[in-house]
Amino acid sequence: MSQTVSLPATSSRLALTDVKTPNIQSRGLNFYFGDGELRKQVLFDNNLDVMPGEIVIMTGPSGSGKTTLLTLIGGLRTAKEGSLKVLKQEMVGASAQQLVRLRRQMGFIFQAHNLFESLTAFQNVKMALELFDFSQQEMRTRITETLTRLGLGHRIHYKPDSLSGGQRQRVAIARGLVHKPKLILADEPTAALDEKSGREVVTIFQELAREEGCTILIVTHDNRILDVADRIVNMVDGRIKSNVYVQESAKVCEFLQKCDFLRDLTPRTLVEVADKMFREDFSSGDTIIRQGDPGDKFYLIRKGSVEIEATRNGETKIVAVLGEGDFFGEMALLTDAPRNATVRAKEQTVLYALGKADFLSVIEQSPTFEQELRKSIFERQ
Amino acid sequence: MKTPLAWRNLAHNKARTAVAVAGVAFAVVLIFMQLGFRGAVVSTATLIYDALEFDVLIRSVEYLHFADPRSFPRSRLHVAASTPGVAHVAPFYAQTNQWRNPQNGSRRGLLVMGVSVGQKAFRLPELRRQIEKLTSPEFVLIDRKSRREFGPAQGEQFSDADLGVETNVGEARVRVVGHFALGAGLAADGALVTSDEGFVRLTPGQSVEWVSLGLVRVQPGANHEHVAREIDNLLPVDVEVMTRREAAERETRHWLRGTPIGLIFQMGVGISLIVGVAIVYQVLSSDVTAHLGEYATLKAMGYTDQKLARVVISQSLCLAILGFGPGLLAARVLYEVTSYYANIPIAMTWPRVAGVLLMTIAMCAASGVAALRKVWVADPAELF
Repeated sequence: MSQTVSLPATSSRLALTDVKTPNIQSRGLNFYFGDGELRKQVLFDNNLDVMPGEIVIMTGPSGSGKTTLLTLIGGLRTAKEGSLKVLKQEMVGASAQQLVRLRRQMGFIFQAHNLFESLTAFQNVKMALELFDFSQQEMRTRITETLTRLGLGHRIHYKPDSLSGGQRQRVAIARGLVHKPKLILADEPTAALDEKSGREVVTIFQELAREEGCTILIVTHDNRILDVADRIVNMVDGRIKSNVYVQESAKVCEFLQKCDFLRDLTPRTLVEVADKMFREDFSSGDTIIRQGDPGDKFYLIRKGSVEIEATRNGETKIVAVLGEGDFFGEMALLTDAPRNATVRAKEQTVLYALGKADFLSVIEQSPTFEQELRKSIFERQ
Repeated sequence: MKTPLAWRNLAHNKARTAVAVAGVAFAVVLIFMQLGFRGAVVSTATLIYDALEFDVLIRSVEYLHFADPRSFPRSRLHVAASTPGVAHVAPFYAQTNQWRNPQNGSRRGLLVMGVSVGQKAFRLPELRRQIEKLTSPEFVLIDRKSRREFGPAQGEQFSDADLGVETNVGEARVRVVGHFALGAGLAADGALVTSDEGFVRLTPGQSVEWVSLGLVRVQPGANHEHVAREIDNLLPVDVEVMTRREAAERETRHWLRGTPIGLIFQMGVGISLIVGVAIVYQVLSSDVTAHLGEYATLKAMGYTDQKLARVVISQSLCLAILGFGPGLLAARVLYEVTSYYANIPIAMTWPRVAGVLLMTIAMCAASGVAALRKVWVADPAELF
């Protein structure tokens, strides 16, 4: 049976069952600035799942709403419409106290370091720990460890005015990390850093994500650090234009490239195709398409296998069994004819589906596409 | 131990802190001076009463203040003397009059007090001894605490060098035969004591049968209030009778409430507080504004408004304590200077020190609270 999942196929790591609850889960999230006549919608139907341990890079032009989304996730603004769960707390309708409590489980790294000039690096970082009941000894150990890890072991008792810009930013990062938050929200964390320091910082992010299961959300224009992202979210005009789990996207592109008729597409177009695919889950024995029905989707088998059963001249037989990486359903879309066979899941199967309209627009982009497709169909018969 | 952020902020920006501390100290000095003057009014108002020997006071219903007591028939004192519980009643005469400066002839008002030579009207042993010298109506004793404008021979204050000096009081000739230390307070710049006959001689139209005050001593163990009530019942309504405490209270009230003096000093205290609040608020709010990003970051991190309030309030209290010390010290010096030159007693009392400290703390706390609004509106969402 088909399960309705509105998230794009490449928006998450492939998992047959939900093993973990996401650290961030938004559904139909809308946000408005202002009231009454002046009310202006800045976020439209944002759906986003971010799992523990994921590093997300958010991009988009300024005014695209990515910062607003970040402040909603960070509990710095109150979400009012839709649903937004952060660290299991529903943010829509949450009280100010709940938000404050939640923020203590997060680490904030702002573009400006915002360090108290009057406090040493150690004391500035300590401000983050004083919200919790740590012993003096534990605080000292943690602060020293964190600062040392950020290459500031020799500057622990320096005040900001005797530190360089990069060092100050690293103190601010230490302040955001020292309490081992479950969620880190960072705004251009590497903007003030040279390449080497920037690399050190994102390496620490990766370690935190891997070792502590920390979710890290970074708003950045620094393409030097794109490689650390597990997921890249692109926002335009308040909408999540694309939300790509990079590894999964790569995998899907790899599969798509195996299709003869898609082989000639550029990687960029392939990624776009992958982005437009939606995940559908089927159990063993579920009918995916039925012979005679109008064709509406193109399918890629991400996991599992299907059997194709055709009835010709009153005789029904299984004509093929397809497995991971194979695709089907393109013929009915191309010829505008009814389905010429029935496809049934042989086991627990995950399919990535592409709608007819999207499928056809992809074809238009590739002059050789139709030709290739026809050839491929011909060869199959 | 928590990081003393408030203290660090103050220590970091020394110039700003110095301005604030100076502002607080300035306000503290102003408050102390106003309270000092007001206190001087209170203590000088009753200065002469404190020096007089009485338990119950009889005075005219028209009595205004000590230097203008009006008068009533002496026969009232005979009635009082026969009241049960009364040990002794002494007449007392007082009136302001013009003293001629023996050095340059200028005239100046002073308080003239007349006593029956044989009776102990004053508590001061020195004055009691001196009063025995008033053997002739033209003999007078002069207060050493009179201002130097009255013309002491040695320039600063009356002394043995003035003994035998002759001058005029009103139209009458007097001779200085002794001196004493009293201090007449607000109503007069100087004082002299003479005999009852001498007083009548200096005051045209006066007679010994019209007295200014009746000084009643009650018998040991007798209840003063009770005796006062008894006397009052026996006497007609042209006089009023009161205990020593009540007399002092009413004298104080007259100066604080019946004249603008008290109000002026109270206003002074209020204005000093406002000046203090303005200065401290200015400094604190510019400090908060300079650290708005930092405070917003703390808010984002999960610091509550209350926790941040504690930082700003502690900062303001630090300023209160830092400013109070120098302010107290400066006020102490100014008290000495003022006492010396104005010849009025201004003393630093512990209740006043405690009171001003509390006012200073309240002043700084109020400024802190006002500055806090800026922290409260600091929006961490603006940081991204």
